[in-house]
Amino acid sequence: MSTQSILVKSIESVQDNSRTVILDNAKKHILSTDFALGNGMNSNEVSHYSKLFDLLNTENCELILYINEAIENGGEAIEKSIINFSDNSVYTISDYSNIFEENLI
Amino acid sequence: MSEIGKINIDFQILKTHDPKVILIADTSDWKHIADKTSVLEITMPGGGVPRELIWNKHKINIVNSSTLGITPKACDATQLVELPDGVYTIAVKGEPNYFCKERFYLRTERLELEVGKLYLSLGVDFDKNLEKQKLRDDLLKIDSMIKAANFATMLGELDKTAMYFKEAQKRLKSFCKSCN
Repeated sequence: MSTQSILVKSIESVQDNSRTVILDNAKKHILSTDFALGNGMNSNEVSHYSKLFDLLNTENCELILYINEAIENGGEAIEKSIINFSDNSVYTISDYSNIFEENLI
Repeated sequence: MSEIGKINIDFQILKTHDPKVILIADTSDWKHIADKTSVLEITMPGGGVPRELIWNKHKINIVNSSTLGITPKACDATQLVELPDGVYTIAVKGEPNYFCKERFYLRTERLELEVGKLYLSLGVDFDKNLEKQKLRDDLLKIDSMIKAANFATMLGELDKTAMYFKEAQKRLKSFCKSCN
């Protein structure tokens, strides 16, 4: 592996990293419970990378755009995402909610 | 030559993460009615008249706004619109139609997509920042609610499905700054 491929983040490298973190935490859990070594699993970290791993496996174009943005700009996309989310998606969601209510009657 | 034996009609709904399509795979053992016509009946969330579509045996059947006839008239017929989230009733019927399998399907693609977008806005690296941790926890709770709603649907407990699904929607809506 060249230095370049280590430095450049891609969906594949983030997936690899997520896998490694989850495996490392599983090892830490075993070491802690079976041999009383270390601090055990960081469940917040595991939850984060599990969710991320699921998201990275998508083939949805809309989500892939967000993944690339998250990889390139990190947390900077947060405000932008919430603004986008507020224009039409919420309208759609509340619309679905009405559909749900009708369904129950 | 017809096959003799017990007919077993069954199907699986495949996860696509695409709000515009539903993929339904035929996993039936059709036996002696294999060459007869079969029908897919879909009732959209909110009830109403079920839409009838031709069921392709031993294949993956694609359902979208065009096949369901819900693409708005203003749109190009080939342009697909998103299918609403909620509980669908899906039935596959053979001929004669007492050979039937019915299943509830909770569609959460749009909701999951919004949760996914918000989650990605946290960035891909694990950040111990408390504000981000809180947002992450809140989004994971929404995820749990969606999972609970799916499990309730599998158990046929639709009142619980609605309760968990609405809770997920409510929590997601709280992230929207211009909705209230």
